Amino acid sequence: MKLWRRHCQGARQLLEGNSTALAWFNAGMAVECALKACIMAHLRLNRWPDRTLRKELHTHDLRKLALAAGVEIEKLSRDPVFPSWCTVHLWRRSEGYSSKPMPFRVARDMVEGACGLDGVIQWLMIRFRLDI
Amino acid sequence: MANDPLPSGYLEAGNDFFGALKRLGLVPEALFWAQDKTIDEFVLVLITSHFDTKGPKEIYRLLTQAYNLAATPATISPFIVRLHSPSQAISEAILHSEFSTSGNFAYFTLNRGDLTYRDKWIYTAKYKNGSVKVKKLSPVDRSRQWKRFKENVERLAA
Repeated sequence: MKLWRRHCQGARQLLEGNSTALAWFNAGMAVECALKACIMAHLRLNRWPDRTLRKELHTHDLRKLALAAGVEIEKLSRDPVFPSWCTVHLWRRSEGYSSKPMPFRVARDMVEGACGLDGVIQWLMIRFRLDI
Repeated sequence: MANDPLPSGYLEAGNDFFGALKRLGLVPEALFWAQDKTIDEFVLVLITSHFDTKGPKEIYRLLTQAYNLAATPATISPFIVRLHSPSQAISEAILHSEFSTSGNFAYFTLNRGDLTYRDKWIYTAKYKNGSVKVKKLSPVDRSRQWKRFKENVERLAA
C-alpha cells in the first residue's frame, strides 16, 4: 500500500478515536509522503535518492518538497486548494511532541486539508497523474 | 534599523495587514513577524482564539478571499501567515513573555519554540503578564467577532 494512503487511513482512524494530535501528525506525514512520490515522478527517479546525493530532498519542510516537485504554492492563491495548502503548511513534526490537547476541529482541518476531497493530496495526484 | 534582518518593506506591509484585519473585524491576540527556524523563512504569526473554534482552514479560506479581493496587502500572502491558537504551548510562551525595558538596548530578541522575533516586530500582543490584565473574549463576543469578520469578507465578494 502506498505510504501516503496508509498515513491518511491512520489519520482518519485516529481522528475518529479522538486522538487528535496523532491524527494531525499522520496527516502531515501523508502529505510529506505524497510530495515525495510527486518529486520522484517530476524528476523521473526510480528510487529515493541517497542523502549524500540529494541532501535538499531530505527535509520535512513541505514547502521545500513542493518546490522540488515543481509546485509553487504561493502562486496558487486563486486555486480552491490554497486554504488546504496553507493549513498543511502549519504542520511541524515537533508538534507531535506537544503534551497539550489539540482541539478536534484543528486536527480535522489538518486531516481534511491533507486527505480530504479538496485536500492537497487529491490535488497532487491529479496534477501529477499519479494513482489515487 | 540598519542591522534589522527583517527584509525591507515587511514591517510596513505587516502594519497594513494589521490595519486591514481590524477593518474586516478580526482582532488578533497577537500579530508579529518572526523568523521560523523550521522552514528558515520569515512568517507573520497571527494568534487568534478563532483557531480552536473555527479551525485553520476556514480562517485561511477567508484570509485568501480577502487577499484575492485586495482587501489585505498584496505583499502578505496568507501562505506566509502562521496561525496559532492562544492555548497552544508556543503561544502561551509568547503571550507570557516580558520584554525588559531597562538598559540601553536598541531591541530585544526572544526565542519561543522555533520562532525568533524582536520587540520591534510586534504589532499587537495581549500579554498575560502580571502588569497587564487581559480580558478574555467570551464565547458570545468571540462568535460575534467571527460573524462580523466573515460577513465583511463575504460582502466584498458579493
